[in-house]
Amino acid sequence: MGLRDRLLQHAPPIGSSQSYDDYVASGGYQGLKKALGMEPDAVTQMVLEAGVRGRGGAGFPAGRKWSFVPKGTGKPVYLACNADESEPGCFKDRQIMERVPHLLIEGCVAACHAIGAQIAYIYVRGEYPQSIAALEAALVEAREKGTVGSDVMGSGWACDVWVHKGAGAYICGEETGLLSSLEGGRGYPRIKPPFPAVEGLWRSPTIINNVETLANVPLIVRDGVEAFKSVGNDDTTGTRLVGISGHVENPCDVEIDPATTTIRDLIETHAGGVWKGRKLKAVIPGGSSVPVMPADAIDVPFTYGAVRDAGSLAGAAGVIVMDETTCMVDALLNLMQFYHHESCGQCTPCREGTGWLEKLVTRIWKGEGRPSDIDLLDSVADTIGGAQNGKTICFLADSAVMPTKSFLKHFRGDFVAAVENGGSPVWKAQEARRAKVSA
Amino acid sequence: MSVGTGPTFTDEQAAAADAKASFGDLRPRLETLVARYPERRAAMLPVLWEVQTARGWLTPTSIREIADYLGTPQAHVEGVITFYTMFKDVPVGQDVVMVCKTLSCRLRGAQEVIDALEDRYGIELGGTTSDGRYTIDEAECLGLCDMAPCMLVVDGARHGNLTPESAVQALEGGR
Ligand SMILES: Cc1cc2nc3c(=O)[nH]c(=O)nc-3n(C[C@H](O)[C@H](O)[C@H](O)COP(=O)(O)O)c2cc1C
Ligand code: SF4
Ligand code: FES
Repeated sequence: MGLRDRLLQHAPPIGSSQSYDDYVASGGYQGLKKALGMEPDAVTQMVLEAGVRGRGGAGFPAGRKWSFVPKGTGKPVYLACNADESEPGCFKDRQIMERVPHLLIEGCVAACHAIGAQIAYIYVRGEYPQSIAALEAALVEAREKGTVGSDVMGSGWACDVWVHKGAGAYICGEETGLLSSLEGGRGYPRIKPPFPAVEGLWRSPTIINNVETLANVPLIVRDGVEAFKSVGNDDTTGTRLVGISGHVENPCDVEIDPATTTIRDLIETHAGGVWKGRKLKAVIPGGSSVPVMPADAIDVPFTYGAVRDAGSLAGAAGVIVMDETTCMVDALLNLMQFYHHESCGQCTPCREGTGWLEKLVTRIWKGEGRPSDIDLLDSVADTIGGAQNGKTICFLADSAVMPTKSFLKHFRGDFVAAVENGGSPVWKAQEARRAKVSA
Repeated sequence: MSVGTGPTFTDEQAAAADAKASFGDLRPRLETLVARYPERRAAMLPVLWEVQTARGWLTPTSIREIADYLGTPQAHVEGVITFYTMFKDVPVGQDVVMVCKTLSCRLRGAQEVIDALEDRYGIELGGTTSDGRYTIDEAECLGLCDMAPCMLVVDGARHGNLTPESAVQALEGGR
């Protein structure tokens, strides 16, 4: 149901990487060739008409973002490819980089042509040595064959692509944190405006796009807008790569038609169903930052709009599945530890607030919670986010708020039980295990 | 840098790390990295990686040399190192292992894997095995949730679908 290979159509199995020759034999670099014969604005126009939305989480239309690059500033323009992929539950970009690295490289070079850039940096998280190795090897080939370098495909136009390796910080996936990191500093996000398209790397116009977003570009140019839009619907054009993990029989990454694939299909058809024959309890559909959905809400197609209408977000397409035995207090605590640890500390509401959330959930988890703590948790969550209103620089704090509010909304019973029964069952089991070991 | 608790390494350890590679020998490679960016300082992360890989960890001498090389204050280099969990300014094991503890792994038994590793080596996460072979760190989602629970040897192999036994075995095999 809904399986639709496009980005990964010719990808070799997991563990191997497609060579330049195999890539070209399967139609690779034709999109770039065609793009080089077009006016840059015409390429941007195609991407705009294709309607491809950012696959890094926010879903902003790529063509529109590209059109924000100011013209005639005399400054260089840069492309930064966001390959930081650190959102818990997300592992889709890895598939592209490891298995079809030339697809991403072609996308970067074609995008550079469209926006007027001559350098692309691919910022890959340091925990992806296999992705880095595959990209580096492909770049050696690409330079040799002339699809990257001083004379791209004989056009006389030069374009370089460099891999930049991160070093373990989730916040470097936030687009302006990524820029700070690329410039050689701490990965501190920056206040917007100015937006990176106007003032990014070294105060020059910079476009930041996710790996999967850029990987779609060669296909749009080569096959045309209509072919691209033949998958998906008006809201979500093209395929989506989705990672499914947690309590399923077969955790995996699949490429789907988002218009015809529901979250239930993802779990039951593609991931082999909930593991151990158990019942479903909850699903986080878009990576850890989006609201959790209860089991009865998952019969919706995996488009941005449909998942939003169902109360969550498709985000970066990391589907985390939780079975009936899951203690939601324990799951939320795990996420709050993450956000508190990854807050960069620049904004007080985020730095202190994520700490408070972690502390409060810990208290409930360990059986030290008071009944009033549940409402307190809910109200603290209300006070710490707000990037939209300028209360914080970036959306990390909001990313901690969304799970908190939704966990309490749909699974309040688990929190009440933990308060009344002396803590989370997971905590109790852990204590019992440790007592046995030390006895 | 640990502040207020005194040095967490000895001068001998630092000297031994520095002796593994002279900065001069690293320079030709570093030059190619610096050339990729319009500003020298932007090569910070790539340069830190090169030096750390060559010497094992980022010693006080390394920090001084890198600051000079990139034309930036030492305090800036130190500030960068402490921001990123994969940069080490104290000695670590021959290999650093990152064990994921985040949700998709936790749902499939990450805590039991972590407990088994701590038990086997008699250390807490963040510690180094007594023979200096491994430093075992806890990690946030490694982007390997399809093989949860999992761990990654920094710049090396990844190990997935772990059980407490197979996790220990994977590291024992590398000794
Ligand atoms: C805290 C935080 C972490 C993020 N991490 C990533 C990431 O790892 N990869 C990514 O592509 N986008 C990430 N994003 C989204 C980026 O800020 C940005 O929207 C995206 O890279 C733009 O590319 P796109 O329009 O092609 O999606 C993150 C955002 C926030 C607020
Ligand atoms: S919201 Fe949090 S992570 Fe984002 S800039 Fe502020 S402190 Fe840093
Ligand atoms: S949660 Fe462990 S790899 Fe993603």
